[in-house]
Amino acid sequence: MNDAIIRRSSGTPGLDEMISGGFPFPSVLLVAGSAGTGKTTFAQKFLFEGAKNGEQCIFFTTLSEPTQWMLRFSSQFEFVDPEYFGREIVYIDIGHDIRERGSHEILDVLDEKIAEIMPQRIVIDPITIVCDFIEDNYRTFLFDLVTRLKNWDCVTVLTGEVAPGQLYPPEIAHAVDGIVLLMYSHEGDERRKYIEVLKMRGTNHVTGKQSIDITTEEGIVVLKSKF
Amino acid sequence: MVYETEVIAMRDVISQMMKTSQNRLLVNTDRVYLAKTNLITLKSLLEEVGPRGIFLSINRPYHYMAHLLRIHKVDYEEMLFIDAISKISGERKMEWKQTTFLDSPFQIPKIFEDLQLIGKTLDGSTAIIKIIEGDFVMIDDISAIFHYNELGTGKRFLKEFLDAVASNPKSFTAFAIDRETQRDTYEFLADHSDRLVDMGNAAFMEVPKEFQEGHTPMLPPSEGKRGMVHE
Repeated sequence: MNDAIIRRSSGTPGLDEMISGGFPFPSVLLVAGSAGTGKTTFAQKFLFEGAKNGEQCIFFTTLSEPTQWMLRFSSQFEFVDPEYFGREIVYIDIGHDIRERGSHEILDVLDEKIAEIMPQRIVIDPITIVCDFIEDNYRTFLFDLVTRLKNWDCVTVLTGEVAPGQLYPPEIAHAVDGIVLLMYSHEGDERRKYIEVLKMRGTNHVTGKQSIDITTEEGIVVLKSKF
Repeated sequence: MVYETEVIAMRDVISQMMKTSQNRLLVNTDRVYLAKTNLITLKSLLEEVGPRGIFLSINRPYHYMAHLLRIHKVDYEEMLFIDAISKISGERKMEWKQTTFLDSPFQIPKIFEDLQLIGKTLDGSTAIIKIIEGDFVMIDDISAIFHYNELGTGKRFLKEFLDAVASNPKSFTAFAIDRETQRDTYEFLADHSDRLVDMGNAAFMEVPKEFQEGHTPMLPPSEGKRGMVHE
């Protein structure tokens, strides 16, 4: 009996070709990078790609950023269609829950929202902020979170903020199915941006850094294809 | 209530089947909508066939479906869950009076050998429950049987199970599966089912007349977002 891995497009032009056609379904992925590398842009494009195909999506923000501000900044991108908000893409602020509740309650809040909406794609942006507020075991929380997200039968992108020079938050890396790094380096007077697929379970993937650009039309675009 | 349109359509199909003593329903769905399709199917079974269903979880712990039923306000008080995956899933949520936990999904053909099992009843006591005496049996997800059992074992189990259901017109069973990615399993199940429903991305639509002849679906392009029914 055949049992092919189902894949869903990342939405980032050039990336699907690096990962055998798309993200495995279901899976939990970490997109890590320092400030300004395009993590939220990547996550939004991932959701709009799903919405475009009729999938249901949830964007959990942990920052307590009002929707209007998120929309104001993201509306510069041509792929952002406000028509999807509140319909295919549901924006949920869990910042208050993270500040006020324990890890079990946070998981229950997520469970309830996911069960209600039954999404095919989820973003939690950024996940790294949660560790500042969870008093009990952060690793146990992450393990439980990833286990539940996979069992909810969807593809989840967790964004992870790292300090300049750090590749990814190690406490999350062991729990997820895939890691995509976004980074930049100074080369002469220029600051070049790169993407690298560090890990993608069940997937033949291109290794090494690939140049990227961020455009208003497509968001992140993989420029140099060595594959 | 969400998915009410789909539930009404599914109930209509189930009702038609019961009137003609058909009791094995196969539902095709895109894999990414499997959870949603299973919720719609289970809700339809509970409302149309009866409340004493048996839900066998192979792919993910039972409590995910129980949680969905609760959130979507579906009454499942008389259902029995058989959970074959929690003990090897790393999950820590495992307590519920209506649940029987198997050690692993490798045991499934064995426990179904006599088409009966030891289950916990509502008051917490254990009892032998004959599978075919429940109102219905649903397996989530049926293709996962082949992750844990050899092809021949899995097929033999499914055939015996579906034959047993067919021999008892008071029982009913329904499976959801992605025909595109599980074509062999789908074809095998289609040969042993009474009626086929196509849910696409969990939207539902009666099939046009020209598509209703024969078991093998004559499907419009698979990118279609609408569902169909095949008899």
